[in-house]
Amino acid sequence: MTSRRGFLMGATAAGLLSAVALPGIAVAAANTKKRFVLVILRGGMDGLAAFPPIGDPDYQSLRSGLAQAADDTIALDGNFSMHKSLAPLMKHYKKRHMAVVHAVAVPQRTRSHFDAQNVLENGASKAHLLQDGWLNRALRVIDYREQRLGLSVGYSTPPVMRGTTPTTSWAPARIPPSPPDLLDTLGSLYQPDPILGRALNEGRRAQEMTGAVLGDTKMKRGNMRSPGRFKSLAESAGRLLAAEQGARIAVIEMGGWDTHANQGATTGRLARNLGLLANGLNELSLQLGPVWRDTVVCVVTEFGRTVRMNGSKGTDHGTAGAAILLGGAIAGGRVATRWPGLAPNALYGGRDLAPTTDMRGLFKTVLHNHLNIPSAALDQKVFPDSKKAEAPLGQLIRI
Amino acid sequence: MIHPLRLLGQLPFSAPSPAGWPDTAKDWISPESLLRRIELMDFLARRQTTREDPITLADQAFGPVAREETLLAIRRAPSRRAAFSVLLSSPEFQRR
Repeated sequence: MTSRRGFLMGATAAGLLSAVALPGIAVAAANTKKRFVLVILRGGMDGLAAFPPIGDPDYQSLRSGLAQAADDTIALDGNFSMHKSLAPLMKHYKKRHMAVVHAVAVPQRTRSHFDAQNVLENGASKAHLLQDGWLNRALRVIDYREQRLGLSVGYSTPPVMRGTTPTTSWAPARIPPSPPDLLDTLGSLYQPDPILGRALNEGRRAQEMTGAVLGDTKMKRGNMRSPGRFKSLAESAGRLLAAEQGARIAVIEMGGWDTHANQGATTGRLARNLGLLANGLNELSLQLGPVWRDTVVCVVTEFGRTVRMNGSKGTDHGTAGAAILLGGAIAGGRVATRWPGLAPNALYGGRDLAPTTDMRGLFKTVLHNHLNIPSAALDQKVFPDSKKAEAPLGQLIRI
Repeated sequence: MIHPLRLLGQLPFSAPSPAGWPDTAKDWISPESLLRRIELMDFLARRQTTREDPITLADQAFGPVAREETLLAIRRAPSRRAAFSVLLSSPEFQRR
């Protein structure tokens, strides 16, 4: 006699545990060796904690409560340090395969996650001006056509990758959608049951709607952004990008950066997150192996955080923050910034690090120098209205 | 095991309140979660290893509760996998 429970146990042991292997993603041969990975840190990563301006005379006093002592950090140059949780990245910095862009911000001043992430990803001068993402438009300009070289790692395609250019996505152990005829059969079986019947009808309607708007099912995302998942996502991204027939341009998301309370300084919540980020990025470089030398990884967030600590030992939504460039194709080993300073009268709105570099300027530098996208196409199609966007100082890509 | 439990919406140790997970039918069956649940059952059906006939299994599992419509749908399923899928997602299996 097989019980309901016994049946489930058998099927589960046989199936679910083996469902984590890499799937075969259908992509055509790439016409370029270059790899580009965009990592979006959602929630507002505190750039002043990741790369503290140790040499700034106002740093210790204004950051009181969260300031890191110089001895507890890793010096990058005379003015800037790196949080010690990012120590695994130091080998890249020493090889000049890492650069930090500091005091960088999206073009719109907003303290809303929603608007700031939107403008970070749509590539316009303001939130909600464009429906598609700049990475998708860049793929169209590169003219990779149907090759599907854009890859989203996670359960949904982030807005930056959404648009008319076909891209592919991958998530670990994704359970495939049910076939429509199964849902039809169940629909008639559920009919007499008021709860099941109605739920299935509503669910199918909603799925069609989100499918039409987002091109993906909506429910399964969220958890994939949890910080602990980053390393395994980075590993998968690395393997997929390293494959000769694989994708070339990928986006990965990582959450957990909205540190309003108890963010900690040298240790604590933010320190843990930075450690997970560094380990994930190292895993990515490991998996990319020989193609790491043709790779640029760009790590960005929607905004920085307030300079001063708030009443709950955290920081609030700020303006400018820091971005990380990593990879064998980076001409780094330096902090690229026009440092505005932390003097009270230099702060944006009296509370935030003031922006001196435009995020679009950073992206344009990478797309132009690394992926060889012509400047005219960048100014007209990928980042419309961005001609005056301030680019980071100096050369960042090895040419 | 964790992943399917998360998909089903009730990850252990993450209940929304100290009272634990709610136990009324409407809290267990939302439109989204029902679709996820059907997907998971379909996934399990594809991986099943039993040699039993789906109809025999339905008889054993449901006994007198089995409805004629459900047995008919299992019999008419286009494949063995589809038959198991209908069995696992049937109202008898999901709600008793």
